[in-house]
Amino acid sequence: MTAQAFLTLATAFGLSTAAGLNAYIPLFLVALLARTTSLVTLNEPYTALSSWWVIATLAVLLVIEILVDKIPAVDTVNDVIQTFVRPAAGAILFAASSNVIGLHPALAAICGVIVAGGVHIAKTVERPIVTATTAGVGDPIVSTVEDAVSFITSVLAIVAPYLIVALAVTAISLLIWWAERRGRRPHR
Amino acid sequence: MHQPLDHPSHPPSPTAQPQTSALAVVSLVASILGLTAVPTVGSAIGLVLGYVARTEIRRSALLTGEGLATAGIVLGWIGIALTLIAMALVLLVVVFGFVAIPGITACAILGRGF
Repeated sequence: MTAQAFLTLATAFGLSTAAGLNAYIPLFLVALLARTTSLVTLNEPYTALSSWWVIATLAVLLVIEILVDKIPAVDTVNDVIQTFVRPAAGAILFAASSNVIGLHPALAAICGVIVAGGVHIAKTVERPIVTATTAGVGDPIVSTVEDAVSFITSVLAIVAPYLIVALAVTAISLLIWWAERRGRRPHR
Repeated sequence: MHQPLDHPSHPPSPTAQPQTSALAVVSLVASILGLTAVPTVGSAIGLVLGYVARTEIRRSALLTGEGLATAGIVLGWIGIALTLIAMALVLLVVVFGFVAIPGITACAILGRGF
């Protein structure tokens, strides 16, 4: 695998992760950047993503999602609806960005669904816990941080995918270290 | 000579009424917004304005509202603390969602157990 292909995969993983937190931030960014800059190149059939109609629709949906996700209890209902949207967005983003290196579309879609779906599940589990422990005060704060992380991850995935690789390697190492430490403890 | 410059509309005079510091009120409002509609940014503004208002009130003989300023500062700090906790939490969510859930899925598919 060439370095370019490797970085393209990093972009795909980064965008899918961002889609798990907020489906519309990476979709909107990719669509807008593909339309207005040469940072993102989309191949057929994904060029449809960069039409002004799609960009405008995504902008509206993005504003709704940002607002709805900040209201306690409503955010949990929204998370249930988004169970279909976020993995789908992850699949589209993964397929659209890995299409350039010729990854099989079905394989790309599965990768996108699993990554975005994983982040989405973790987020959906976290939110009611935050609502319950902070009496709803924490919801808008956590949601804002999530939007920020989704935005930063999307931008990094597009302009500096090697940073996504570095972050992923750090995260995996930490998790392995934690699992090892747990494993070494005597069993009950 | 400080006073008239800072508050030209309220020159000190023997009959002047004590005035609630506008900054203190804005600080408290910003900090409350920081815990509701404008997370983090509201808290940061409320915190800074709260300290500015407190200094202003202590220097002045006519300005009141130190309690409001203190409330703005305390709520501001709570907002910042919640933001930091939220950052740690979201990082955990992303790491867990990115690594652990796909990992468990892969192990289940391969039938190896975790």
